[in-house]
Amino acid sequence: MATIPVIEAIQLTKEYHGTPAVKNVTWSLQPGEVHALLGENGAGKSTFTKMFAGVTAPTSGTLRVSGRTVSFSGPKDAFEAGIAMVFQETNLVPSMTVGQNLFLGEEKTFNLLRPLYIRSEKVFQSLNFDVDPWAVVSTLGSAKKQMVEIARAVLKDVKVIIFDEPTATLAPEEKGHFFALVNHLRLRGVSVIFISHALEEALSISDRITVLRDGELVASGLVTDFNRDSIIRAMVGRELSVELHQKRSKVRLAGKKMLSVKNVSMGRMVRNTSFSIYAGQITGIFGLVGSGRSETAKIIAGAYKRNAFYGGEINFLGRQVRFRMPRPGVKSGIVYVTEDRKVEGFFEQMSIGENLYMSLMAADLDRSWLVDKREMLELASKWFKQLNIKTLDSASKVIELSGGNQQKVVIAAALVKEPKLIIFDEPTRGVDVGAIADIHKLIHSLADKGMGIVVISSYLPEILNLSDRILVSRSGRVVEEFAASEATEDNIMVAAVH
Amino acid sequence: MFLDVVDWLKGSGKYSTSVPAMDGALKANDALDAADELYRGTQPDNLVHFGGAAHFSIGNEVLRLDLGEVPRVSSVAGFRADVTCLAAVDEQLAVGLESGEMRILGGRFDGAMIDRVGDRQTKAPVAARFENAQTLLLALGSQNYPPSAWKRDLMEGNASGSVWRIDLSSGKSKLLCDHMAFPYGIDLVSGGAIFVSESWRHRIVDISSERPRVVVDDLPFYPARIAATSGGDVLVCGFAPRRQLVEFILREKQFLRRMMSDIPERYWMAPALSSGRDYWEPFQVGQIRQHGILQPWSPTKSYGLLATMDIAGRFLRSIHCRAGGLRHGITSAIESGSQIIMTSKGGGMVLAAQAREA
Repeated sequence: MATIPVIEAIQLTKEYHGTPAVKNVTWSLQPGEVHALLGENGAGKSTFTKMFAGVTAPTSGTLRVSGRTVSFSGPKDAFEAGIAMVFQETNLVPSMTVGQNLFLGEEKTFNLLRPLYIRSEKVFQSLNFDVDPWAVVSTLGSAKKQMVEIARAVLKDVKVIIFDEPTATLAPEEKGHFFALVNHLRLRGVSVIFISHALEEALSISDRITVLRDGELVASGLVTDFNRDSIIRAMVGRELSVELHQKRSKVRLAGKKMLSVKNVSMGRMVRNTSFSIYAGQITGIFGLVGSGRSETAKIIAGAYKRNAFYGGEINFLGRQVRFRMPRPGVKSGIVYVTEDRKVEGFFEQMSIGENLYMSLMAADLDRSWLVDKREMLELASKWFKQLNIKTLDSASKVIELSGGNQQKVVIAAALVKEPKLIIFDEPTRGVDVGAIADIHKLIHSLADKGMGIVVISSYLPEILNLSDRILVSRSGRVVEEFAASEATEDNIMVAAVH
Repeated sequence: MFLDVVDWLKGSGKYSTSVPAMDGALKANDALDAADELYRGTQPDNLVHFGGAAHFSIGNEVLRLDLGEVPRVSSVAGFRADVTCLAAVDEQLAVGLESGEMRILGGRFDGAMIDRVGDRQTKAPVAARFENAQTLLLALGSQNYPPSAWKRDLMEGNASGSVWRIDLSSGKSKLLCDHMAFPYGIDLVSGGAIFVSESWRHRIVDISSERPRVVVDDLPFYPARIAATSGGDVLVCGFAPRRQLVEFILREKQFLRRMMSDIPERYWMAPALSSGRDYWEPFQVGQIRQHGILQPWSPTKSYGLLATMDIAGRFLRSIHCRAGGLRHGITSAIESGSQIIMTSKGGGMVLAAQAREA
């Protein structure tokens, strides 16, 4: 008799505003198996699994758990059906202790904390995780937070645990403990869905592998049917739309060297990395999560500090610089456009004009401290036109705009500072197709004007479409450089994961 | 003083051991390995155009190189000391020698010898260029050591080089630039600029005006001679790469002194014209894998590089011979029709590559 799959997805589709994130995927998870879900950023892995965890509901298709058709109205339903998900971004309450977080939702009218901490201690010891149950979550690093999330899922004695990039923040030793835990869960008959960018890890711990690409299932089978090359091929071999994904036919020649990053190190994230950026050219930087791309960019811009001792050197326009905060960096002409616009990019309750004016004030330390409302309005109207920002009302708050228009505001806020070098970190993440085209056009026009442009992206077609020169980052350093003419999705991906 | 101590503690500023990346137009390739070999001999060095053919120095001789179906080499002149630089104009050839003097062969000043400039003895003529038939630009690499002891001059951190303009008819000389850190190459480029490659400071400067102007600095290699091309660009030879370990040793004075006093020069951890031919040497490109990353544990000492730069200091293209190759120590290059001819002093070869590649 054939085993009944613990999860079965039949023709599952999820659309956001008419755009499919997951398209007609039919897939199953067997009891006690470790199933790796692989794919590029934006391939639909997280959306797909969030439907199992009740975080989002499918637009169409059928979802069965242990042979029974289900329809989850929220994570609680999924949890009751025996499915737990450990998210990439932790869902812990920062002001509470680890122990309190572990047993969140199980509180009684009167609670004794001591037994709770003792139980927590036992859980962590059984998992071999070095986490203090008395510690307040906000004081923990991301790796420890991830461990608490994992412990919370394991504690609930569920049938399926979905891990979304569980090892991205773990140290090698902690990864070892995590893999031992996965094996332990497998022996107990718990099924594990393992979403990862680390192909080696997927190949070593999973029983089956499924590759998603652009929301579609492109390959699925036993781990023995795959090797690293076949996975990469399946991950990147998409048919690209002509407008957004075609490779550049004309490449800009490098101008004068603007920035020289020399042997820069920052803890374990950035390790002795060296590269140069040239004027009048778009330099694309590709790398997987944890490859140190954004951290390096933030060091350049002054948002992060490199190692105090032997941390390397940064030369900008022939001058050695060490920005201890972004403001002097901005004044020197370097602007970093963040990948996390909602947290770092704008003041959401302020209008577009106010955001732009604040940015202008931050750029020039010699400006008058008096706010000039007329200048603010002029500024807003100028950038409205220039970047084609669509809003019902010019006084709209930024929070009221769509993702694409919010991103345009963030870019405008960077451009009002009149930078010489601008670093775009994931410039089109969470942005609709129309806005992507606008942003790409803008980036090209800035490079044509002679500005130094760096585009950091996890999306290979974007890198290929924009870049005159491509750097690949892995394990905290730039490991490969490609001219636009020699770059392909395959060779970039090989450099990024090998 | 205080900031100096801070820099020393933190390994920053002038105590930094970082080196720039060889990327962009300087990205490594193996094109030099594919270049045609025209001649093989021990340490060919300076190349010039003279009398309708390329001439190069090798040991104590100057050889003529006739390019044809089969390249032919013939001896033109021999000297008692090794030849350290050449310059040519019309029928006039200026030859710098290891003993310090410059000799003029042919033309109006045939037989002339220069062994003093200004108030000093010429010690290390390493590059020369005729401005016109009676004016010679001469770069003296060092006031402390002869050209063959360049490695000692580098490791001691000397900056005693100078560039002179010498009027051959009157014998008068004018100091153009002093306290240079081994001016290894000199040439006139379009617009009347005089470009000089200052090797130990890894830069190229224009000394045509009172105050030298930096054309390009922080090069990832030690520049050797430079040569203007017919298209208005400049060929820049690189004889060795800059490496973090060498930068570190240059700052660790005590270690440096002990290395220089206790270890034979050819085994120093210092830039070299060639390496990897003696098993006593530290291995090149040795590496170990740590956590999936290949970590180099012994850096390259020698390298082969010829780069083309425009007069604004932007590198346009380059050809390389990497650590595993033999064509290292490129010290001189000239344009010859559609080809670039260059000497690999470390590899003991005269090579030719297509100009559009180099």
